[in-house]
Amino acid sequence: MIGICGNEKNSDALVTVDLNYNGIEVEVESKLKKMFGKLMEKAVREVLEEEKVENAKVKVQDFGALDFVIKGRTRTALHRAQQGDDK
Amino acid sequence: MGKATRAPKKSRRTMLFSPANNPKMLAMAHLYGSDCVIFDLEDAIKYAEKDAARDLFAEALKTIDYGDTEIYARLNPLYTEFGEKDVRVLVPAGLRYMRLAMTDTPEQIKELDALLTEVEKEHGIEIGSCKIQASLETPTAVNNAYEIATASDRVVTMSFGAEDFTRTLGAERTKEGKEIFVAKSMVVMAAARAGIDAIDTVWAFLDDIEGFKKEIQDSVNMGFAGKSCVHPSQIKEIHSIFTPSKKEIEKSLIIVKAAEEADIENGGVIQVNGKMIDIPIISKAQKVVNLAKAAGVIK
Repeated sequence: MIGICGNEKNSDALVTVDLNYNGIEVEVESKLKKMFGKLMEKAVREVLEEEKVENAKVKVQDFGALDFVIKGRTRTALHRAQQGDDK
Repeated sequence: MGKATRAPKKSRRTMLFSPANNPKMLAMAHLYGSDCVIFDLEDAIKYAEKDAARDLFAEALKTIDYGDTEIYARLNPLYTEFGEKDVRVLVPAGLRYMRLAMTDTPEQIKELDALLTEVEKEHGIEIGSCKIQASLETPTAVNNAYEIATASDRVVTMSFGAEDFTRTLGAERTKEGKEIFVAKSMVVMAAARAGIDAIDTVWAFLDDIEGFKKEIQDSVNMGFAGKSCVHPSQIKEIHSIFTPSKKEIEKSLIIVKAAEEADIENGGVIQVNGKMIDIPIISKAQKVVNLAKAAGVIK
């Protein structure tokens, strides 16, 4: 069950959520990873916590996205994964 | 003062459209200076991306301080699979203004009103906090304008959409706008009777600046409170024409002050600088003062 959301465009992010995973793992790919990687991971973890998800591997490919964008893309990718929808 | 001339709580000279799935615009659109921004979940968003646009907009509402800018969602119609979900996700996230596209009947407003009441109750939001803009885009809608405007206290504005109107009428949209003049007048009159703001349609001919200026002036003369726009470059022009001039404001302030001192609410005339001033002129002066205050020109 994999869900994907977002775009490879400036100010956006492409987020992939895989629910076939034990525990939580967040992987961030970003030119700004050194400066903002932890904040991006925090944004993802907050969404997973709000949605009560305990098992998921999340990959964030960042193209200069603000926190709210990472959260939005993560939430949609998660819902798509939960629906068994790999759009 | 009648309901139609009461002080507006908020200036709505410009309503800037922006797609709801554009991260940059969600973060920046309000900085262009329009009084209102409408983030579009309907026509601008493909079916496969409706969920992504809704979630992204919800996170923006939770995070971004939009200041004094009135933020609207252009909802998907409630008869689609997306409309109700738009409301259920966005209202708890902070959305308080929503535009109901293609509003043809008062029943559509009542349906949205009932859904909003349910969602407000579920989330402990004060009942009635969420407001509606009814978008009138067909001959049926224009004929039902007053009934739509008064279908719920939540309806605070009514907008006129010329593109769908001319399409459904079978008319050609022209720059002169003779084909939409009667409809626009009907919308303004219904809004005035109901005591709400009427918002004029977008100017679609982006390269014709002189035509644009003329249409804005026509909107002001007809009684519209503001105009929808599709590009940030249109905001400045609309504001300059919709905001009363310094001379008008000064003259109006003198009339309003003289009327207050004379206490002629129930009729009669006063003299200001040698001219006879009666209730209709005082009402117009009050409207100018209200507009200037709402636009932040005077305090």
